[in-house]
Amino acid sequence: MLLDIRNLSIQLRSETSYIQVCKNFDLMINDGEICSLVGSSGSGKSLIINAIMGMYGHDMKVTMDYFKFRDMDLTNLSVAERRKILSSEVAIIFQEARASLDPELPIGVQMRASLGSHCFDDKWYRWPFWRFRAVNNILHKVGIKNTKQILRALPYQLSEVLCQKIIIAMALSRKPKLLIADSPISGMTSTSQVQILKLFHSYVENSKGTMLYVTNDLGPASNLMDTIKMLYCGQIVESGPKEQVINCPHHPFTQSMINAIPEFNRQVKLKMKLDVLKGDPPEFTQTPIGCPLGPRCPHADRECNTMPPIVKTKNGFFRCYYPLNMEKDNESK
Amino acid sequence: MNQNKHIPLLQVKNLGLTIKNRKYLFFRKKVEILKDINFTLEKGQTLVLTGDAGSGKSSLLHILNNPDIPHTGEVLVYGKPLKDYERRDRVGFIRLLSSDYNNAINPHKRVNFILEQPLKINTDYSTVQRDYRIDRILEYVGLSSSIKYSHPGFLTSNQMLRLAFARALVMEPEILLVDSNIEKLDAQLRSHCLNMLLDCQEEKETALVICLNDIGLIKHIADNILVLSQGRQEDYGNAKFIISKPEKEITKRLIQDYNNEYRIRPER
Repeated sequence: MLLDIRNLSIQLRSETSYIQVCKNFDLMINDGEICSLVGSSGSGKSLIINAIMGMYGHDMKVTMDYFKFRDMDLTNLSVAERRKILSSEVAIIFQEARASLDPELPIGVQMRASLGSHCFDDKWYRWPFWRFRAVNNILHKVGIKNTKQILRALPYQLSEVLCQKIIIAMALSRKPKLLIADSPISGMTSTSQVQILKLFHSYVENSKGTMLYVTNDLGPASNLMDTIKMLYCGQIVESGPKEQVINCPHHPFTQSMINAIPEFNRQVKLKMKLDVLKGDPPEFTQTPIGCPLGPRCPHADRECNTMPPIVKTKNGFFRCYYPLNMEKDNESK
Repeated sequence: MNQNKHIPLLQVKNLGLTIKNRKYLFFRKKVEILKDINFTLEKGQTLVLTGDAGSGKSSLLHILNNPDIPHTGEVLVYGKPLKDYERRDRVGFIRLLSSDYNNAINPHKRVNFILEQPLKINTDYSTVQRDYRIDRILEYVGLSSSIKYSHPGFLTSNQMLRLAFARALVMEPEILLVDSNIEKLDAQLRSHCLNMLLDCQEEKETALVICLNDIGLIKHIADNILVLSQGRQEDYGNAKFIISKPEKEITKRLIQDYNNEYRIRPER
């Protein structure tokens, strides 16, 4: 077990009181696994990443029962100490790529600065200029050809997609134990999407890495993931291996996320309306009592006013009173 | 009336755009961003622009929206060059829908101001008429009219998308340009946005020009497709025909890369 977090809860400070954003969140990632968090925008994905890495100020209150990373028990450490330990072994790819680069320094200087001396594993006589060579190699792998121009450029001169690629290159060049990717391939063309996904795949296979893949779309990278956790309003509503979640989803929210992709639904004809859930995702100040999907759910009933219990399936669980596709599950048994 | 039928809504002929790149004292280079682009667009049709990054999709959109002026060739609307129209008329034909709503909408102004300003500049409407128009457009998009007095910061993401639609539709344009930020939205919001676009096309017969990379979405909404590569027009024609039987190498590669091993399809 690489990462083990139990009962994470996050509270955000408002003017008068604290607002519960996320509660009863468990996350367990095995070695060499690609675990993915999927949820619509505003479901608290990025907040959970910040809470895990200890990147928050006084406006956020985080409590957890148990936090373990590679045989180290980090539960009782302070935030600063925990961040010191995690920073050398975990790398993050942030959502807004251009915002997370330094606007005043050239790309080359930033990339070389991110490589610590512990990243060097080669013969001793290859030490001179090893950072320059490492940066060039990783940029070629990401799919950037004219490295000379790009290393001299400042972030505002490059496009958003190029900045994303540079951030991915920076994260992978440090050879981290755990890689956290926050929607890394959104807005790219399919050619560069495949290139980046292949790179992630080889990182997990060859250098024995582990990934936490956070995304808001099930489409492009669904076969890369091992386990899928569907997140809604800071709560996991369904979890399980990828075949089970995509082929027979039990929770209505998972079903709607799959139906929103026109290719996944064969009954959709040219220019037909796609079916979406009615209404908006609720704000954190106004989360409904009981099941968070309640008012938007097409199958909701009076029973949904209370929190549905966890129902266990073969390799996962879901939280719903009226689950879908139960016959399919029985047939396979 | 019979003559009008033969003139297409939008026609682009031999469009070209070059940029002079100047470096040091004597080094000068010309870069051709767009070259020889021809297409036509009829009422109620959808044209999708695809291509790699840096192939000139958004430059083409900028020319159609008219902040940029092409160096060669011309853009014809109803058979008349776009630059010959006055701004008031031009704005009525072509509007841009920026689906990156968080950056495109001014957070300091109220919703009423955002929707009223294009009407104030481009039409001779009185205050009452403007109010009536705004109410109607809000009703069409599906927002309550009490929202007029609030700042965009108080709206949810779904409502912001509707507001972006309302701003694009206040002038009742015949051509709607949509940028490629649709793909960055999450799956629910994206299909919501596509539904609204299809609705608009069905009711008002607006023509759409959309930048997209996702072949699955292109299959669903496109009538015609224009494949660009380094500023050249590589492939143009019926979308269904081109995607099922690609002939050019770039189109083949785009479709091959889309059907990769990391995409699974559910068994139904």
